Amino acid sequence: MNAREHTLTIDGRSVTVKRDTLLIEACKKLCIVVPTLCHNENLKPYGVCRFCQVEVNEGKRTRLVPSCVYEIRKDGLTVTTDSERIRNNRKWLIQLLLARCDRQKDVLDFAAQYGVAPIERLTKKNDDCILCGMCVRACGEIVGVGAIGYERRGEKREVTSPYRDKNPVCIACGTCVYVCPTHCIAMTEENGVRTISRYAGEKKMIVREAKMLTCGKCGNYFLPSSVAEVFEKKMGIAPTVFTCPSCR
Amino acid sequence: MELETAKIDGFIARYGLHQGALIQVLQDIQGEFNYLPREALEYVSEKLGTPLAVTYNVATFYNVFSLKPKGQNHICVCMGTACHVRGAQSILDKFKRELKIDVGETTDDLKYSLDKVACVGACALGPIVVENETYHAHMKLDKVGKLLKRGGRK
Amino acid sequence: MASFDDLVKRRGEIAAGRAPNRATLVLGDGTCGRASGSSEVRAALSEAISSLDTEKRLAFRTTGCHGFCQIEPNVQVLPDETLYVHVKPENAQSIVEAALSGKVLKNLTFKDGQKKSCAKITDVPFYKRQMRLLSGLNVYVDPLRIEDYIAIDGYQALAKALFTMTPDFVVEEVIKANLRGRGGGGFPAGWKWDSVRKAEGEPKYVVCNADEGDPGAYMDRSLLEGNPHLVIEGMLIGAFAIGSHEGYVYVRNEYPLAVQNLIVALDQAREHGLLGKNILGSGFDFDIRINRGGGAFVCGESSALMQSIEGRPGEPIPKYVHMSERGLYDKPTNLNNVETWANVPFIVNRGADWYRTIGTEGSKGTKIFSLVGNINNTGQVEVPMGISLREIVEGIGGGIPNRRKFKAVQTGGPSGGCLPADCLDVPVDFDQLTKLGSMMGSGGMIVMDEDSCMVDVARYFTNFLTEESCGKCVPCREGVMQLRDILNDITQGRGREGDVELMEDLSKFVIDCSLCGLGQSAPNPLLTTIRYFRDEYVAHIHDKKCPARRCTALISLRIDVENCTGCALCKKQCPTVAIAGEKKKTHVIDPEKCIRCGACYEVCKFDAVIKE
Repeated sequence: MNAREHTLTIDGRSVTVKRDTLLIEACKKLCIVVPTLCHNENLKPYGVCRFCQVEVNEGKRTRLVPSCVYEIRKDGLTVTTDSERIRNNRKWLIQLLLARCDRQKDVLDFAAQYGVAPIERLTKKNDDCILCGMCVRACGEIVGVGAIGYERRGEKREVTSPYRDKNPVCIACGTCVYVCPTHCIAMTEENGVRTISRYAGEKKMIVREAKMLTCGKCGNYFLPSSVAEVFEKKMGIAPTVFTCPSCR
Repeated sequence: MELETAKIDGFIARYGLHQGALIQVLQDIQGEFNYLPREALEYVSEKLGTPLAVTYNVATFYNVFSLKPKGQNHICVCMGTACHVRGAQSILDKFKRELKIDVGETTDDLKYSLDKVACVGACALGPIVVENETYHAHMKLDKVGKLLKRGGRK
Repeated sequence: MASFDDLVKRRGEIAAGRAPNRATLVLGDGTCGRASGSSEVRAALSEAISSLDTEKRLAFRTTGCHGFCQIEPNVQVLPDETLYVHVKPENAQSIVEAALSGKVLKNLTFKDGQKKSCAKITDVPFYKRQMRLLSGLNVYVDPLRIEDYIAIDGYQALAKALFTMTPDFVVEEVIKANLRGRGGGGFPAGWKWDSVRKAEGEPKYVVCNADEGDPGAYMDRSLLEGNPHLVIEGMLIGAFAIGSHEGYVYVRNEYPLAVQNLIVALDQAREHGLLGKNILGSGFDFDIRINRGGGAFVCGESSALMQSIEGRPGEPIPKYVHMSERGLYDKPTNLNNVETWANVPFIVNRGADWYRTIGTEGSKGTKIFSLVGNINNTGQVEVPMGISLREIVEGIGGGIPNRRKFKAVQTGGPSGGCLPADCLDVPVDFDQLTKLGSMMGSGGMIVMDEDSCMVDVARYFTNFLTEESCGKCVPCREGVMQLRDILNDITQGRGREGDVELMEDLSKFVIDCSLCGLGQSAPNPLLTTIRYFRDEYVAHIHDKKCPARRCTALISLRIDVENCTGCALCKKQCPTVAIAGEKKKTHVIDPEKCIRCGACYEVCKFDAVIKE
């Protein structure tokens, strides 16, 4: 099967892409930014935040599709990335997220951007996690340890470590902290120990407490031993060789 | 607890050692031990080479699995539409009051656990309460007490 | 059996071993039967028959569901077609004697509305207007004996397809017959088969969706428990047509008997050369695995079902490439419902042209419905498509019991809607009900009388869907949950002005934006009840009243002085000691303590408890 190409029209402009290109990438090629909350180029597409939905006309009818998941496999598609329908849906998405975490800064910024005010009638939840799944996916796909995952389903769905206990497979690398769009995973360092934790419900759930290594030269803490072990296992570099970035 | 790994190996052998067998293996484990012991989940994850978080996700996603032991008498009140229309909610409420536990919980003496199920497919005979493998048809509020008194004996 | 001839020979052998006019007692021993006490009747009948001498011996068969679940345990006497209802173990001896002497026990026959005895099945109003094409076979088959199925031309269609037809021809016949999916989608099965057949990739899979999650619907359970071979044969034919060698049956965990019977049936089919390698000597290989569900309604959705077979949580995947290209394990997959598969042998045996004579223009064949709720004759009903709702509810169902009035019928399960009396004359098929805002769905038909509160029904379904949502996407997880919370408020007296409009707006968004079919159809029960029963919402919100007197927060219970005899039954049942009164004197309910559980209302034999 050769690398076939397809031409499509997005917001009136034409673009040609390789077959199976994601629609969101095709938009990017035209410098059209589609808002997303659960998409990251380095992760497998998830399609759950529904922000990236755009209208696609495949010939017979127009339908709303999440552009982060939709693969281009046909010629002659017509795509609209902004319309009243799309904007109305995004407003509702934000209002539902505001009901979930009405004090979280990132969500509030997003709301302000779209000019959305909270609907008081909705039930408030006070949970900063928007279940975008980036942390779980990053830990599983990029770091490869799968220290955190989902628990239960529906309104009870949460991101936790198994049994909400400390999980020794977590290497305290902090990838989950970096990818989280609402900063609801905490990484703290105190007394030579790095702690990765978040609040699952009312209780603080500690995923890992890892001792920090000290720099061979200046003696400051700078790297969790658990991460150093990974380097050792995978690349054969002994931890005693490590020096902190300032001393290198 | 001492995990009887031989039994679990037997379940795995029945379906083959691959991710697709996970749910069937967990059902056999639940059938054997009356719940999913943590050690069993850890053992199965290790055998399959998957992170515990993934197995834990499967174990908590499906209603049939329980991470805590079920009671000797597992009571399931059918809450299907036909049973609902015939008053299943008040029957469930009565079980909750009598046993002093909520749905999904087990009494301290491990004698009873209470669950609800969406539909068992015996709608002509609703409201239905399933006690272990016995189907109690045409359930009424005043029969709840009698069922609990019998405690599993027919 | 290693050839077509072997099958024919085997059928002949079985027939030879059975005296054609020997009386047979058939006991319905499916899940419903057992819940009514058929196990004890079975033991009693077995004993009564075994005590006869060999020449007079009756044949005795235990089968799955006969359809009229209301009157179980039931025994049919063949070939006379006599029906005995509500059979007890102590009736066993007399039933046996009557069958031997050709008599009919009038006291055990069904009595119609005019108290007339309907001895023959064909006289019984419930059965009269049905066309029990598929379900009728249950009476002739003990699910644990493949011989019974072979005796009634079982696997004939498979042999015909394997030895006299090409895969292409089989697909064309199914397309011509216009067999549409019976699981709710109504998609033409033949087109699906065609796409999978033409798709690139090996292996190809055929899957049977036996997850039947719609509460109130149990047609698939009856078919799978009662005649698993019919479904297996359908899958075999489909696999042959598509070019698949591996099949799965995904059965929900709540159907243990169906799983057991299916396991036995698969084993027996393998023993007889009907499953496995070189089926009937044709060179075609195919086998089937069973996957039990884990108790999740969402696993009825095709992508979630496949995730579950792959050992993952049943979370639907946003798929814009069809299952027929990338399905189970990313391979071409054909998924059909139990009843869809069960129709296939009929189409192959009698031809697409014959099949097209049943049903309407757009909806061919019969459909099995689960007629339950507030209805006189509850059970499994099989009728040609195009029959009206009224015929089903009144003609077959016998109308509403206890002299109550019809209020609504809920069709299509949690993805469907509630239709009022005005809609009763609509013909039931794939397209007509959709026009009214509901859908035929998998066949659940729940009849509701005037004591049902439609707001409560909407709340019930919305709550169900909130609990069954996988929770991945925002619109469904958050949106349906918010709808449920508002409905809880309304039914508990906390409804506010603007709630209905807010729910309508939110519903439109949930339908438009959700990832899968569960979310996309979740607001349907709510929207149809608003459409047809808006006045009830107004009463709950404005007047804080429940017209059907169902929502406990909006009613009060009191004891009528005139009717109360002071028997104290209510006092005994009251969980909060809210009823006071001396023996033989009028009792009184303390409204402060009363939690309105309704226990007193239920036990009172004198209609002395009033709901207001």
